[in-house]
Amino acid sequence: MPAKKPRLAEELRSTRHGWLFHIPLVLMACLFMLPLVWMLSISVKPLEQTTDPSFDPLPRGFYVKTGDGRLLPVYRERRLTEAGYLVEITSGKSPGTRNYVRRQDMKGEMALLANGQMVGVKVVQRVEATPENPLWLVREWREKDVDTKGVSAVQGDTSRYVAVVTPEEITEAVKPLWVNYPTGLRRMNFWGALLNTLLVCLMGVVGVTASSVLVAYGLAFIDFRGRKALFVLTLATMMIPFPATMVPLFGVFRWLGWVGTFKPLWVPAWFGNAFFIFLLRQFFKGIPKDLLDSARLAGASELQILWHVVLPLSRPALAMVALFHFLFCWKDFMGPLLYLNDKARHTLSLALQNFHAEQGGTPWHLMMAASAVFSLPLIVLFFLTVKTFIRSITMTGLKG
Amino acid sequence: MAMGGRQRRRNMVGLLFVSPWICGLGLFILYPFFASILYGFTDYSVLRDPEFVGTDNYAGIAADPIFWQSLKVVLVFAAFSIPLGVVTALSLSIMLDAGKRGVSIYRAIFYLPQLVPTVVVAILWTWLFNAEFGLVNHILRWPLQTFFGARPPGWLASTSWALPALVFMSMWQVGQMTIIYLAKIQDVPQDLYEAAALDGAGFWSKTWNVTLPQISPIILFNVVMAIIGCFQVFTEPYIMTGGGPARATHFLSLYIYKLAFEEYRMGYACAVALVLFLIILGLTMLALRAARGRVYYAGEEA
Amino acid sequence: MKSIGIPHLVLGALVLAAAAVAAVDRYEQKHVRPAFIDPDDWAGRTKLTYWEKWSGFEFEAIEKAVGRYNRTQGRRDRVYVNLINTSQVNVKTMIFTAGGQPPDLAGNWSIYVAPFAERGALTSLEKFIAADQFDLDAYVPAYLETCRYRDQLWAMPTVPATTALFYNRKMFREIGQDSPPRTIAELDAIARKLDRRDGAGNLVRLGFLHTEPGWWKWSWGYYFGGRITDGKGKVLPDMDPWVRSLAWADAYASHYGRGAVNSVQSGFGKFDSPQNAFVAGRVGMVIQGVWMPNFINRYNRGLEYSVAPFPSEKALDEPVTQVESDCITIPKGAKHPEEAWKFIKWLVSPEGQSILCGGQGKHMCLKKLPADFAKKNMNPHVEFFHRLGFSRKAYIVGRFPVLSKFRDEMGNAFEQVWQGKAKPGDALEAARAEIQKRLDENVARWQYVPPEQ
Repeated sequence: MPAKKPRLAEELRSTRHGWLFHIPLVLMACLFMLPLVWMLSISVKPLEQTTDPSFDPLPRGFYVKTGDGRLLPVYRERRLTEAGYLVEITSGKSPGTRNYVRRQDMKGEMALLANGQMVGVKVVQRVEATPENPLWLVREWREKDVDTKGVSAVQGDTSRYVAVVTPEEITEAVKPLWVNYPTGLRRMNFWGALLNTLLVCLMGVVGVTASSVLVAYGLAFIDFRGRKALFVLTLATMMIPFPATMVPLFGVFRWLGWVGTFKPLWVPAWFGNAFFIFLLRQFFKGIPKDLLDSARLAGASELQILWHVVLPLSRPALAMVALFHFLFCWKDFMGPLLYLNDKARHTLSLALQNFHAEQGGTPWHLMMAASAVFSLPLIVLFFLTVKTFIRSITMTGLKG
Repeated sequence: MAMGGRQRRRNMVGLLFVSPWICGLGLFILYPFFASILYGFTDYSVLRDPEFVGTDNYAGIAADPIFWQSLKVVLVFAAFSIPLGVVTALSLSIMLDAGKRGVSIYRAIFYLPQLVPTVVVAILWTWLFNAEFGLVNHILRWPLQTFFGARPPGWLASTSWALPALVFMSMWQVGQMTIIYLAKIQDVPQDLYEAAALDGAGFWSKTWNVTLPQISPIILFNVVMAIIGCFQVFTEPYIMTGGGPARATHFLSLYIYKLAFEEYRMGYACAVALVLFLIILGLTMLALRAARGRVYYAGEEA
Repeated sequence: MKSIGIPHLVLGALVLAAAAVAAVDRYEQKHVRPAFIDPDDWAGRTKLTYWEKWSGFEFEAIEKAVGRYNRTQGRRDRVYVNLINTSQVNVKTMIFTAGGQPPDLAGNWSIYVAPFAERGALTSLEKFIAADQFDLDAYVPAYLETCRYRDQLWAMPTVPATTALFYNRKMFREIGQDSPPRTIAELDAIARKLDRRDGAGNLVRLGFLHTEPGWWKWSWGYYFGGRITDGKGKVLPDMDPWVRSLAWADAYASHYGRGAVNSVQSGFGKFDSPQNAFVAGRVGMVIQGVWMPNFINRYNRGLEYSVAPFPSEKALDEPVTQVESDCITIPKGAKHPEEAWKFIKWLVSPEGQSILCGGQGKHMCLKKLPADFAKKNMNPHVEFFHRLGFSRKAYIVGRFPVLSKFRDEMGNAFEQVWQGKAKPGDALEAARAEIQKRLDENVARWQYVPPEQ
């Protein structure tokens, strides 16, 4: 009968046209996934394509066949619509580099460059471009350009292949730039920050689980004086927002000498957490009293009961506490912001935010690559422990 | 006599078990909380000892336009994001339940945004809301142009649209609530539906009259937690707008942080924090009172 | 099964906890190292901690400078400077100073020197200067002023900054303009000629945009002859120039269309990127600082641009420019103030400045630039920006304890006007009231009326 009951209720409350709901559901699912998909799409693009107004979701690579038949990846540096020359600079600051000058800027053997310099040049090729028949100035692209901070570094490199070609000579292919990932991770000091984050998370998880279990057991099973009051107080503290304690709490850590270390991020967890204590207590209350009574009659101490009777039955609840605290620590930003200063000690959240704030000009492709990797562990964790996860979430709704 | 001894022993054991929490509660929560209240009556600028100034700070708050602006920002945000969030989560969970198939896939998809770290969410949506290159405006541009002849909004750069952007963003993270609602919906006992069916109720009627009242306790719990949560929103405005433009997204928590750690006016910051706490308390009471006639506890122990 | 009593478990837990804490501490000591550490080099030397800001190539410059010091004079004096790249260095310094654990040296921004000094967070440098008979005359007075409070020097400027007008020469040529504007009216005229819209009426190019880069929204009044305080405790003693400055900005915003300009602005990349509005040719004229040529060089070496003093309402003999500095301080309670001062002296000497300012592509705080400094500098315009620092009409970012509040409120007023939410006069009145309140509190508390500026 119990197994049949939910199905019956389900049938009773549903409708024949339930399948219709899949239309809005699919739409919502797509909308929900869109930002993440976009993040991935940008993470494999070269920088110049991240601000492409045409919103091409796929990363493109451009190729040109060189004189000796090689297919070379290139930048499309400039679209040319007027007559001019492809020249090689022979004097001035950067001899040997190639550039484009307009016909009117050519003065015999000298040319007026775009930056106002007059330099000696040697004509390599005449360019007959018009608005109807545009041409492209292309420059060879190399993988290390992903981290290049500008066009000038590319322009100044005399070993690169430079040419003026027709649009037809450029072949296009979908080319995901996987090298964005190692570059982005390196720029945000990922591995160091990862170690720091893991340290804080693991220390916190172990601490909060151990302490919350102890306290919740006490509140659930031991009838000591003041139990009710303590429980009510615990509930009440869940209402206190962090900003209300932030300032003196900082003072406490400063007095302890912990500011600048990891300790403020994980040590408080070893003393318990109101939310987890509350949830664990509710869970413990669901354990049949007879088990405990019979153990008590057998002369077991409270700790023994906890260890041998309660804990084995509480695995889902323990998993929930561990999981949620891990999630919280991983994502935590305000804690590290307040208590960590040395960049070598930054956790992932702070390192990513620093990367974002300091870059001035944001290399979005690298940012998105770093963000994707930062998000990945939690997503992987979710898929590995789906059942536990979902059960944990629904448990938080227990006896709300 | 034996009873007394046993009770004493029980007290000791009990206290021992909860001792970590008592220490933690005292040191990390209660002491800072009461200290905060006390500091609220002082002028404490970090390097000097706190000087008692009575209610000057509170008078200052009443006359502080930045405080009122920050409060307005947080209240407007709460007023929109909480109902929208609840409605979205409820709709999704009801549809998921009625749709029957593929629940685990949908659940994973809707929950995924909550696995993304807050910093990433902030950075990603900063990009998405970019008025010229962002995806949101790219989607909106054509329909707005053709049907309304209007330009897409400036979002985070515009004083009118920055806060709506944050509200919209908060709706992306309703996955956890959806899962909880779904679980609760599935727990509703079948005899109620039987009775409704006998009365000739259709799907919508059943949903409105049976499902919703049955899960109303969890909705209430969600609302209360959301109120507390709204007042603690910090990371997103800090990273995305820094409180601007023209303080349009200057959340109260951001103001407290700035007062304490950028202007070093710790006493004043604590006073504002206490006001924040009282406002949360007040709103929660209001919510509980408003819910009194509407939340149905099916004889469960609260 | 042996029964485990409570005492055992408690003991066990304590031991475990102690072991965990010890392990974490050891890990932190060994693996989480501050930047720029050379363990072999620092044995037996007094270690100074130096918290500094910056990132990228700017941080590399200070790293080089500190490295040079450690290898030369530091070694002679048995002193080692441990450079730590600190985020939010001003906040962290204040907090740690208050907690009694300040670093020996802390970088800061000149705008914070006065508030830090008034709160007692800094060690005055006056006694060191007197004891060493340090020649302050060798330094540009304006930069020293940025670090003064109550006529005492509380920090030494290490990297100076001035601002000017950057303009796109190619665009100027196109409209037949061969010289930069000398007055605001001329600027306006040129800007209108430079504006371009596409077929659909969208802004493609803007002649000038106040909000690009938008870092100095609070100081436009200076270019109209305004002051921020009269030296007698009154904020914005003359409102008219400030109102005119905001009205000027307002005119641009409404001319471009407020929604349009917001939209276009968010399409501009951040400052340090190829999509920088000026670098990408989206804006024809911009107000920027000495660092700008380095970023233009990095992202678009081909950009045809030049620099000129930023125009004022009336043509002036000496230009108005912003003068601020990155500075170095000795926090109150630093453990080795004498050694810290020795390092500061080296950092602001020609040798130290060459490495630091040269590495960052800026000019120096010294009055006289060394012979080949300008030539070897990556920035082609250092001499121009250096000369600006001597202008008597320059305005100082510093010396005014409530300048942060001023900046905040005036920035807010500007934004309100820019978004069309308030009229210049009203927004400024509201801002002035708030700042005045704060200044009055400040004066009452610290009994110091800031000088006119």
